Amino acid sequence: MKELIEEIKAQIISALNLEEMTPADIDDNAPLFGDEGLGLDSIDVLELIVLMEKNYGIKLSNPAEGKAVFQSVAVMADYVSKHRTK
Amino acid sequence: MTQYDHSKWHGSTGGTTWMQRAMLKLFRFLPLPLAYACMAPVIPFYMLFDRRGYKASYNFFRHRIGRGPLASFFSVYANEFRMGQVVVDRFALYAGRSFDLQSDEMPVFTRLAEAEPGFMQLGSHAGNFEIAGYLLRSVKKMGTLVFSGETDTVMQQRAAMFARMNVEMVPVSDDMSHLFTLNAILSEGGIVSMPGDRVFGSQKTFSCPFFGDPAPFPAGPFILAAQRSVAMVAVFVMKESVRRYTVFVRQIGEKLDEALPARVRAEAMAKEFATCLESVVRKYPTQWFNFYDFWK
Repeated sequence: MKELIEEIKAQIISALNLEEMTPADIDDNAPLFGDEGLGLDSIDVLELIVLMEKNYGIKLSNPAEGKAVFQSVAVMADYVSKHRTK
Repeated sequence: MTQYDHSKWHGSTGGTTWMQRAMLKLFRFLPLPLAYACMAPVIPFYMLFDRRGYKASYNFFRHRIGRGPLASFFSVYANEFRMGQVVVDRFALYAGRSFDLQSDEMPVFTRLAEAEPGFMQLGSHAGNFEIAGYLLRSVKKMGTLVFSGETDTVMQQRAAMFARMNVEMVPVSDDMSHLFTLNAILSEGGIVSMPGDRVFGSQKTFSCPFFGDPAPFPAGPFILAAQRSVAMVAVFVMKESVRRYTVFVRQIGEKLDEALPARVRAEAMAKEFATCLESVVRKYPTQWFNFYDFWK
């Protein structure tokens, strides 16, 4: 799981162009959205939706489910490990 | 004094619900030239009392188009009058009236509509984008992003009109559910339609040269297209006469290298869209309907 968390962190940094950050700067359990944690917004959600589909074959079409999945990197990794198709 | 910028300007249709319902009934039989003529004496009041809109429009003609002070004053009148005509035409459309739409650039749209992958269609607040649906029909499902602050009357009429055209309205929502819906439509080979000149939701923008100065364009539409590697067309529907519109369809980002990072491609697409929009607006300056400081 630790490996998957690091992989997802690297993908988030690359997809969202967070050049000034390293995977170590992202707390596994910090909220991805809002003022705390990474402070991502709706455009970033869009990029995470595409990231999940392209890299793990996971199609998120239910907003409620998507919101729950994008709570933190740890939650994302847990969801990916259970639902990935590639 | 309240400062308006992209994020605070919603551009919803004016008038109360009962006024809009009355307009719908009226436009079933009222000749359009008569409706336009009724607007003519009202426009000076808008110019007088909507100072923010007047200033934005005047500055646009004075400093962006380069007209003299008096010509700019009269251009504001023409601008407000055109805006009124476009709103009247929208209600006439909802009331079941039809318009003559012509275009030499339909093959661009047809080629994409007949291909399997989904694509994006970007409109703007220039001309009458909403009327495009009548010409740009396709077997593909289309999801069109709409501002949820419109009145029930406008939303109901839109829904009724769009239902006949295989178009689903996707209202912008605080819980970001519109993003999931739009993404799903694209991944199923549908068309996503949204404005390319209005920042809402995310405040991320690309700064693009526009009429000589950098202006903020929303990053969202371009990032969505670049991330999903789908084609994008810009559609401009410009009023020519009482019943006639010309439709311009331009493919955006067609020559971009797919190997470039998505963000780089998205920014290049935004700049290309801004260039296309400027060329159309230069041709039809009185159909520029962003009545706030667009460059702020």
